[in-house]
Amino acid sequence: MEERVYSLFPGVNLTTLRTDRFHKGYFSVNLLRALSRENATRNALLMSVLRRGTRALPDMEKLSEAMDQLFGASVEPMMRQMGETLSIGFQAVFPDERFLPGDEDMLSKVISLTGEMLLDPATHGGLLRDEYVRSEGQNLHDRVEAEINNKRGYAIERMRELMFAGEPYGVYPLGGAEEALRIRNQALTKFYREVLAASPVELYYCGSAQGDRVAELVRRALRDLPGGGDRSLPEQGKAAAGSEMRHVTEEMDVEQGNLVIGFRRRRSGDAAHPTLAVFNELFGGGPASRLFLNVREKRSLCYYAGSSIDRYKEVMLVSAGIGFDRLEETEEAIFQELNDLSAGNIAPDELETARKGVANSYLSAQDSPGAICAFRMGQGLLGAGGDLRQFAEAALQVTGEDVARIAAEFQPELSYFLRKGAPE
Amino acid sequence: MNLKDYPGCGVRMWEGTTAAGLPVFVFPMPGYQTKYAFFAAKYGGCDRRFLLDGNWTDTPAGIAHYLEHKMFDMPGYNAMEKFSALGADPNAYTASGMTGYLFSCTERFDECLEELLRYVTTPYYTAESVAKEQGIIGQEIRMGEDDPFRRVHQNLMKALYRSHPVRVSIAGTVESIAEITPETLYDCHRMFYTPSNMVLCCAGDIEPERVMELAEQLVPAGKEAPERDYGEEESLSPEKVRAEEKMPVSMPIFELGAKLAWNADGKEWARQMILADLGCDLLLGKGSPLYSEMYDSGLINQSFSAGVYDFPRGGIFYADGRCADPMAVLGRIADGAEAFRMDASARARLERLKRAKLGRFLMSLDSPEDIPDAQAESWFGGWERMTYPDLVQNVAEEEVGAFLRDTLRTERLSLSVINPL
Repeated sequence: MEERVYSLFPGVNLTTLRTDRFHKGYFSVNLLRALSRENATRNALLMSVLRRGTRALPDMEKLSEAMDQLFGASVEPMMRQMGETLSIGFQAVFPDERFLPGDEDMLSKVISLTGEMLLDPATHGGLLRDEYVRSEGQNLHDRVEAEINNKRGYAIERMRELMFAGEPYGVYPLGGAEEALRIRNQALTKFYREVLAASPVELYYCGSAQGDRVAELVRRALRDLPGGGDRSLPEQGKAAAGSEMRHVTEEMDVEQGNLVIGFRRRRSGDAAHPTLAVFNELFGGGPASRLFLNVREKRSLCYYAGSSIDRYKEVMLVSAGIGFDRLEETEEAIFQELNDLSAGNIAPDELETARKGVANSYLSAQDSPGAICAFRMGQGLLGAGGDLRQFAEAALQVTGEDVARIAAEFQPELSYFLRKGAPE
Repeated sequence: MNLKDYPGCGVRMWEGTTAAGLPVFVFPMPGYQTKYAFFAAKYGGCDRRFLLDGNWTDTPAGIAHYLEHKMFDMPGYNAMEKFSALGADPNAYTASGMTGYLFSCTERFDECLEELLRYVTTPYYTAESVAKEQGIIGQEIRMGEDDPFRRVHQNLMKALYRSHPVRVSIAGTVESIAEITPETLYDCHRMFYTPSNMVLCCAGDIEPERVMELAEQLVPAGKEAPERDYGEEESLSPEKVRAEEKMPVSMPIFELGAKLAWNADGKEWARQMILADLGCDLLLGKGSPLYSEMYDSGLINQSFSAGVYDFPRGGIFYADGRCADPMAVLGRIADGAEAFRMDASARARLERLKRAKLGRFLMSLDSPEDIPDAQAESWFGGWERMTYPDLVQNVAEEEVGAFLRDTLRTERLSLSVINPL
């Protein structure tokens, strides 16, 4: 894969990855923003409003027609949270020109449509359209409220909110439901201009076209991007772990209990290396992990039990779906597995399984243009380089001592349990 | 093995059948890291009543899924752990009409494939392990009961059908799975996990001949799968027109649907599903006037979707999402279908939709996981998936119009709603 990096304007970079392997091409434009309570709702609302239409294609019907005409290309808003950084923007996926009938200049049309959706929205009197802002405000409100429909996801969000109260990390990335109804088009237009002028912009392309051609097309599509703002990001916050673990129980009319335990790491490091991933695979990430084999399979405590790590913030969440009377037993089993790892009780074959599992997933990610670009962006945010193959190789070198050290560094801070209310 | 070339799509497919009667398909994907195998039986959640040694036999709801969970048990070890030790990522799932076992890996493909073929063809169930699984699957069923989207769907199926087994969810109920014994599992494995009722599909940078060799060696011969019963012939009218329930949700969640007229010819059924899918997009897709009108008036939001979906001996049209007034959505859809005319603008839209379907099909060919899964599904369905672009191209506009007018009539539609508490 041939890689090129272009600095298009100050704070605006394009990475192109050329390969003939895929039937599709991938292009994304990402504006990086610090996660904050004030802006969470506006970020989310802005993207939905931009998806409603452009000056040339002013409603969803016209936009859809254009995408259908481009052989089902999709240009959709994308929000991705990486620690306390939020990336907002558009991602385009489209069939590669090589397989299309006729002489289709897909790439140029897709990049120019993406540019229009970002920079040239449907407006009225110089402002984002009032009716779009109001209707998307209502939709966003409903989406935030609908979080309660997915009990596992809801329990995870509640845990985050409680454990990280007062930190940007505790902010729900879609923002507040009520606030979504209050934002008006003047305020959103002002915010939109700030976002365009003052966010670092990272663009990625993966497909069969030459880097120089892509750079030329992107430069043209973004020629109206306002300049002059300070395109930089604040440092990620890493508050130190402290107190004793807290317990919070909440009640709802549910059939199954959802347990979520939040852990914070006491020291940082290795975020740009696969050590954390290998630890997570062994502890609760994969089907051969301690949580899956011991907590789920051997003890039949739950249908799911797993862990995930946010490598940017260096926090870990463990979640499990359990019977209402199994809380203490499950918590104890989870802590027991973690303590066992931190004491260094790691069998060579389970370590090898975890290392291979992680290497396998990094290597497989090379088969997806979107995954390749997402990985590159994550590494860039951490100020690190490296490609997926190097990561896979490094994963195979992680030692039992590395895993034990990381297990000891994660400290539980909050245990959240969502259960059925006691009968009245 | 024979090689089939589809140069227009940039795809090649090797196909063959083992002496025992197992169909094998291999898609070479040079340069890809992922190597993937999918081994499936045409046996799923709906296959509950069949001729067992000459007698019509009913088995408990959820048994195919239960069997899937228990297949990983091998004498002395667990197959899941073996794959993990090989650095592969194993998985399995049960659908209404099939059960699939799969793995993806980046190295040691042959060893992984051997293990896959071995464990799926080795029934091994003890009373103790079967009893223990009830705790895990019981939690899985409860998790499904807390999911309003699954509940709204299951309630719709119950409302649409009178006796089709699709009325009960694939995982069954806590009560039905309590009846499962090792003996029933052995019987079901013997009846359905037989080469002519299965298929093996692989993709990646792999050697087709080696796949065939291993399949020849490791998949033993068996009898033909038994005749199955999916309940009495049903009319196209729904059994019930409404189903409502209350749960902790933020606003009503709905799914409405209509039964489609089943066709026993696999190719014809595939063609009708494709035409119905185009019809749904034409009437209700994001580029349609009806979608815009409903979205702009705030009746629906991004959660709205519509399409078709099939299962053994049946299929439905559906539209679902979150919305304050599901009855109004039903009314607009029925009115929209009745008023639909294939005028110049609808014709132009249909042509654009065909382009979009073609493009999306091409894009789906990048996934070493999706190609084998889709191949298995179409094989069991009795049609060739790689003919999809031609089938789309040949859909006639009159047929699309007729589908919308006939199917989306008020008297054929049933509405399921989950209301907030």
